[in-house]
Amino acid sequence: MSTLQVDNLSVRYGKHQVLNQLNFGPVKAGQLIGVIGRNGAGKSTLLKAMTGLVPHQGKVSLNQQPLALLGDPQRSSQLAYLPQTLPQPSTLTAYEMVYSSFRAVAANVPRTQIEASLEAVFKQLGIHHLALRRLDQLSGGQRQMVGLAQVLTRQPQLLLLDEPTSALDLHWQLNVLQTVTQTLKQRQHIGLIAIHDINLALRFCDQLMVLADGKVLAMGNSREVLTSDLLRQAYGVEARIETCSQGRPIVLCDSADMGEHAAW
Amino acid sequence: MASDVLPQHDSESTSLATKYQRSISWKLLLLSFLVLLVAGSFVFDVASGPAALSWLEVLNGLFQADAVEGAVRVIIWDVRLPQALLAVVVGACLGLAGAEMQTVLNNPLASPFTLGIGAAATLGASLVIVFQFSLFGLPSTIILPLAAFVMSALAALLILFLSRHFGAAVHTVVLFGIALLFGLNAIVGLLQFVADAEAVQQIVFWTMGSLARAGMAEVTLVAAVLLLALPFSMRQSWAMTALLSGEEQAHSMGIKVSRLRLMVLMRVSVLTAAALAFVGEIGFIGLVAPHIARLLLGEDHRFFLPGSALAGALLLSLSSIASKMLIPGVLIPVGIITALVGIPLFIALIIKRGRTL
Repeated sequence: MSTLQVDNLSVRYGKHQVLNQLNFGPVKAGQLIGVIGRNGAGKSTLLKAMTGLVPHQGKVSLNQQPLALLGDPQRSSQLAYLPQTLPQPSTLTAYEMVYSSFRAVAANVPRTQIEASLEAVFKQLGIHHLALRRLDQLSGGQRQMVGLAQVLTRQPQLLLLDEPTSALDLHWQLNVLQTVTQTLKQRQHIGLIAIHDINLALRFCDQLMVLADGKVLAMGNSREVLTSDLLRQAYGVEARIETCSQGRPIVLCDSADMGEHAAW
Repeated sequence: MASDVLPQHDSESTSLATKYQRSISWKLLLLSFLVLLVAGSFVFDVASGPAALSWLEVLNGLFQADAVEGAVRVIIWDVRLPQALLAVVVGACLGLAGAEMQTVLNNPLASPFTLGIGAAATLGASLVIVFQFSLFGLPSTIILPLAAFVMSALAALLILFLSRHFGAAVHTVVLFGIALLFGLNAIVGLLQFVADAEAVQQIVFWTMGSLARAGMAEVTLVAAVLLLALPFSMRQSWAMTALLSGEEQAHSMGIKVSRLRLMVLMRVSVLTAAALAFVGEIGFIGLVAPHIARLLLGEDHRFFLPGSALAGALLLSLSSIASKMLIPGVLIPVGIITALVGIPLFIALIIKRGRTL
């Protein structure tokens, strides 16, 4: 059972304060948190800071243990981060890439255990047939699926995904988010996903965190937190939250505000 | 997109692990085949030369030295064998150095030669030749490779610094390398201008690249550097393979990417300096060998690194044979052969990369 707590997390790039005293948590085990907001709101930076990729202030604790106090091997065994950039094309096969990243993190795990984990994840994601194909022969979307297999295989307690569906079509967007939510629930791990598609976030995330100018504008149950006012404030759009025939909330955007909220 | 990710069920009956293990067996077989090719080329290199010895004489000379005439023994053991061995170990050093460099700089056009590290080694050697530096009374046979190493390490660090601060795009790094290459060549030219005739001759020997002055002591030294470097390279093979996922991914896996880069570039400098210290500038082996290995074995660095070393050994060994056979009776400096073969391949690589840049 994992728990996540973030206290006073701040990141500054030069003079620009990207994240400003961010607080949230405790996030309960099995939950997927959707991080939404405009471009430049700080979504990717939040995930990078939690991974330890950018210098930051504040504390990120997993199971009451500050991640900053862990050594690199320990931290990388507990959290996995999927960057927004796709795995680059190379002559490695998809299987080799996922296998080598597992090996790089966990040198002492028996080979059979790694192979079983890879087999399961490739099947679960429906990309078993891509496993022995070279990355330079795969499309962008296929490589994104391989990147996802790379982080899921490691079974991290904290899964940080930056736009994991950006290169995928509708079918694979749903496939990925279903797999991620099922995995988190089964293993009782925690996930944070930076995502632009609000309706996907509404459907699959347990909670939504709305970021604007490096601060948490709102955070709460994904079925309740969004309002037209909040969307106007966060995105500068006129939007309605309707209920679909299956009783789920959906966001319908009417127009973009060309006034004060238009600028980045 | 949906169509190109749709599964093909025909290949799902065998587990992925089994297929993966099969591919590993295949790669091991290919590596063994490369070893055989290198061995074959080595024997042919020993057998070829202006003295026109028969195969029987060569084999007798190698395995029953007492059974052949003294002149034949001298030709085989003191001339051909050191040269042939040096071609193998120098080629392996350059192939390995090129492969590691291409990985950590994420650049298929990187190599000790194209990025000016070879030229830096030449500058280090030229400085020692012209100014006769001495250090703690060490002989010039040690000072010269040491100077070559220091200069090549500085060049590697400069490339690393420039590519990190001004962008590590393929063309940026190569352009930095070309600038460095021209700059260093200009300084070497200046040194030649002020040097005496003997020093100029020695510098020219360096820049042409030749296996002709090899002795078993030099072979042993270069082989020792290679054998010391290879285990360190292999130890970092998982990390280097994982680095192909991208820098951020590698960081999140706990790989200290900056440290890895620094260690690899230091190793590249040692390998390059050791390889070039006794043969002078030999270009393109470090560039082309990794591409051959990549084509045959892919980029799992457990196979890619030894494959690049073997491909380098094979290329230089074949070049050594060609240097003796192109013009009968004349030993062409091997650096000229590698440049003649390497330049068209380099251009082909640039054209191929240009389509994907």
